[in-house]
Amino acid sequence: MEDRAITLDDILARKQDTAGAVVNVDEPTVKLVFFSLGNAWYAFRGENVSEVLADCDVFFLPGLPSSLEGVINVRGDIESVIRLRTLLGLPEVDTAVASRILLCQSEAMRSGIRVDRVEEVLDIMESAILPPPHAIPESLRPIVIGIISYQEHMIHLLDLERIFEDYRLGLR
Amino acid sequence: MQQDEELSVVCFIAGGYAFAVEASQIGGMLDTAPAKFTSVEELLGLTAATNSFRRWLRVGERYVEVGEPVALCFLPIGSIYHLPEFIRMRIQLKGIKALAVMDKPVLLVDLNHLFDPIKSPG
Repeated sequence: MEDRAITLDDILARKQDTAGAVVNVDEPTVKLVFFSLGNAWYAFRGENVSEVLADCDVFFLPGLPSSLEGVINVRGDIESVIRLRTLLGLPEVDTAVASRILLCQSEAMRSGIRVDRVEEVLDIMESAILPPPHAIPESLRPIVIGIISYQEHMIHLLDLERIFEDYRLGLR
Repeated sequence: MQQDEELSVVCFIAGGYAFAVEASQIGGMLDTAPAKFTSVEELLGLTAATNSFRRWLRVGERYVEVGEPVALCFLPIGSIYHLPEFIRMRIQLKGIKALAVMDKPVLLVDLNHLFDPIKSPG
C-alpha cells in the first residue's frame, strides 16, 4: 500500500462527501415577520412591516367596530389599530404584556395591526414558501398566500394587501 | 399656515366622549332648554347621553343639546389630524371631520353637516 501523506485536498474532499446537500446561497430569500395569535403562528412579508411597536398608548374612539381598537400617535402621525384576532374570527383575549402593534404598509394604505406576540424576523428561502393547502379554514383561504414549516410550526403567510383591501371595503 | 396657529372650537361631551365643533358654527348657548332642540347624541348616532348636566348650542336657527363641560378651546393646528383612512371608512358616527390629539383624543364634528348633509360637503 502506497504510504502517502494526507493532503488538504483529501480533507476537503472528505468533508464535501459528508456535508450532505449543498445549499445554494444564490437562491432568493424573502424577509418575513413571524407573529402569533394564541398558539397559531402567522407571517407578513417584511416589506409590509415598517415597525414593531411596544408600549404604545392606544386611544379609544367611540363608534368604531370591534375590529378597530383605536388610534396611536407614532411620532406625530396618527394611525389606526386593527385587531387581527377579530378580523380572523378568533376569540378576543386580554391584551398580554408581549402584545405588539405591527405598523403595516400596503401599496395604498397604512395601519397598525395588533398581534399577541412577535416571534421572529427571518430571511427565508423563497422555495421554502409552499402553496396553501386546501385544508385551511374557509375564513383564511382568501388571505393566506403560502405556508412555511419552521421548527415545529406551520406558519400561514398572510396577504396584507388583500386584508387591507377587504377591510377597506367592509368585507371583514 | 403656521404651526403655532390655533383653531377656536367649542368642546363638549356626547355619550361620555369628548367632541368639538368649530366655534364659527356656534351662534350662542342656553342654560335652559329651548322649546325645540335635537340631542347631539341623536345627530351623531351615539347611544343615549350619560351625563345629566346639559347645555344647548345654537347652530343657525336650531338648537343642539350637548353634555357639560362646554367650553371655548383653542386647538393648536399641529394637534389636528385627518382621520386615518380605516377610521374614516368604518366609524359609525355621522359628521366626524377630523381628530385632535392632546392628552386625549377629541373628535371634531361638523354640526352644519349633521343638520343639512346635502348642502354641506362634510
